[in-house]
Amino acid sequence: MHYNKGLANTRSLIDDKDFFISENGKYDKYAELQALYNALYSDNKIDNIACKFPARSIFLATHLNLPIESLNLSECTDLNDFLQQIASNKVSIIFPFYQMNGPASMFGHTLIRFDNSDDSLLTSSAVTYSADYNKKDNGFTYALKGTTGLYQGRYQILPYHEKIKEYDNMNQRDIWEYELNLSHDEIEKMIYHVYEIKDIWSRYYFFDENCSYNILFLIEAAKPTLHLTDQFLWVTPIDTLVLLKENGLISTTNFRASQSSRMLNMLEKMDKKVYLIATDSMKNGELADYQSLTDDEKATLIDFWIEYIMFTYRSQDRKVYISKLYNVLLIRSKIHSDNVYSVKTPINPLEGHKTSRVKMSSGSDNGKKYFELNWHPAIHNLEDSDNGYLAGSSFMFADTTIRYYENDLILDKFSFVDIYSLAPVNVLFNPVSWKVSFGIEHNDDYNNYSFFLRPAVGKAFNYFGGIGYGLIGVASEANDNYLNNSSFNLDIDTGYIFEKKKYKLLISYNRFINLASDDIYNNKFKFVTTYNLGSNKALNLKYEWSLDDRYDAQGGLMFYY
Amino acid sequence: MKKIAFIAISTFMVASLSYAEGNIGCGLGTQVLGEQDSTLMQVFAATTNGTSGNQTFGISSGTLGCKKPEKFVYNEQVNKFVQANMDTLAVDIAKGQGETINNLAYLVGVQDTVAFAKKLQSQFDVIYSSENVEYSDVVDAIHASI
Repeated sequence: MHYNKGLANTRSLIDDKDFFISENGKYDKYAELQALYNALYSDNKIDNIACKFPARSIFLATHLNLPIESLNLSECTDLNDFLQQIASNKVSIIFPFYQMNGPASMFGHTLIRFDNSDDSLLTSSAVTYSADYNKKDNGFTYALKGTTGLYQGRYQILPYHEKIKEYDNMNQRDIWEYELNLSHDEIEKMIYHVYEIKDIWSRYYFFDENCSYNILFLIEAAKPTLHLTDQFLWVTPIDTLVLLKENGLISTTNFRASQSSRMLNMLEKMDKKVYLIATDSMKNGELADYQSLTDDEKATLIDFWIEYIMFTYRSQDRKVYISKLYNVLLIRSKIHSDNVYSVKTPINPLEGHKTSRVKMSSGSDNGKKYFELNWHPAIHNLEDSDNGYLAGSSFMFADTTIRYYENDLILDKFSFVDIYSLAPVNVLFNPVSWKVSFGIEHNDDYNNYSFFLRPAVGKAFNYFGGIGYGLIGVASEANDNYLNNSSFNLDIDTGYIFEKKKYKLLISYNRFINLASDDIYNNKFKFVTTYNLGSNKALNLKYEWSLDDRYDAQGGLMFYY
Repeated sequence: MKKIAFIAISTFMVASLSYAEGNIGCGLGTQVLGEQDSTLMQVFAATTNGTSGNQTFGISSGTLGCKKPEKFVYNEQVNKFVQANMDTLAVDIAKGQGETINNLAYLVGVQDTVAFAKKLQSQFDVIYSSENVEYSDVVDAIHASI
């Protein structure tokens, strides 16, 4: 029933009145229970109430030691159709991986898949929870409504192949599929619960009652003793997955590479001869001469070209797409080859660091000693190990830094948001890299606080196993002490990130050039090393050197929880 | 409190909508991107993995005015599956292997998926007789070739 101990009282998180029998069912679980009993067993029975709410009816009957047969569930036609459609003996939780295009995809997503057999995953039913938005809403309204519960959240049931089209093919996201450790009875309970809730809405809240939280409720229906949903104030999808793992609910992992991962993998593994023909073909927009290749080599080239055509032409004219696809498939059907191309499975996101981080360090600010406390509740930073995360990505919310100097305790910086998306250019893609951060920081010159906003764009490249980047933007700073209370600087931010075994290395150079005066501010190099100690702990060393000969050096420990 | 603070955050996030409307016609083109939302929507949207519309269960088939397969030997599940996966099925048949063929074999009740796939590959130009082939033609042709 999705009851949750809120701050004030225990109430159901479901908002749709149709979910409750009693008028006050949302707020009064005892009244609701009484209403259910009355509907099923009293003289004021409600016809077919068990058909509408099979999960709770079975629950009540079981607890009262009354026979389930008396509920006459076999006569519920709609329920039986549903059970046939979803029929499954295995349940998996699906995790489309992080992507930096938007807030929802930055955190990943979770959905549930009801499986029948390993050969029918495409037709398995996938259950996802999302907000039912109005297409006419503009971007700001959309973000506002999504975070304040002004959209209805609904469960959606689709064949898994439709979700694959969306995540794997359209959004180019890798997908992690985790099989859940549930008994047949538990799966049955889950299915009955989905039936009760599939047409019901609740307010959608981006931060706490979001997609992954509501999916957890479905699993809790299977194992009510687990109390999975009590544990969070706010939640990200990976937090919910780690919780499931810690409760022994995850059995096997399967990695499903996105189309772009597959294409890059094929190119990497091609023999030089085939690779040259592939790149030639991409340059010319059509298949170059491949007659000199063996059958397997031809298959490799054409299999790549098929993906390439789908990828390139799917957003263009439908007729052109169909024509190109058809012609290449005709060619491929004449080639006999047993080639398979497997993408190496990356490090499991379940093995990544936890999403909240506390850092305690001590250092010296050009001679002045200090202790520093840094904290953010979510989710990942350039200094953290990329294991299980998207390399080159950094997204922090409410990142807070406090420093204690001799007798002075100051808030050094508070970033509402601090995001880097460094996406290296490669033979297939030429993405834009970007960063944005805003918040307040301590202004040392005036000993007060400035509001800052620092967006920038640029490019990133793979160099020697690491990522090099260059970004340029305009940094704004608002401070009472400035002329017109504001200052605008050209922001040049360039650096190199490298990770190997337990070490993460970050080198960067940052310069601000004032747009009004051409003065150079903030001209500094930064060197950061993080050493992974395991068990969600790491050692962090940082050295900053300004070109006006000032330095800031610190060392500390990071804890993730 | 946290929520109020975070509202300000999310309004500045660069985003892109991850959901596009289903784009299933009668023939090839199932992988073609559906109607895309406006750029502004893409820039600021998607805090919600949103979906507009009421797709509660599966995809509708037959209601799109497509002709139905001649042979009703296969169930509606097979028809829906082929219609929704025309492109990926065509790719797998051209290759003589793949997950889509395996799933089709399962739906049709074929045990030896390897032989099934190879047989279909040899019949590719019969099953996909032209680029304008419709799903019902594909279903009929697959049935005929077994």
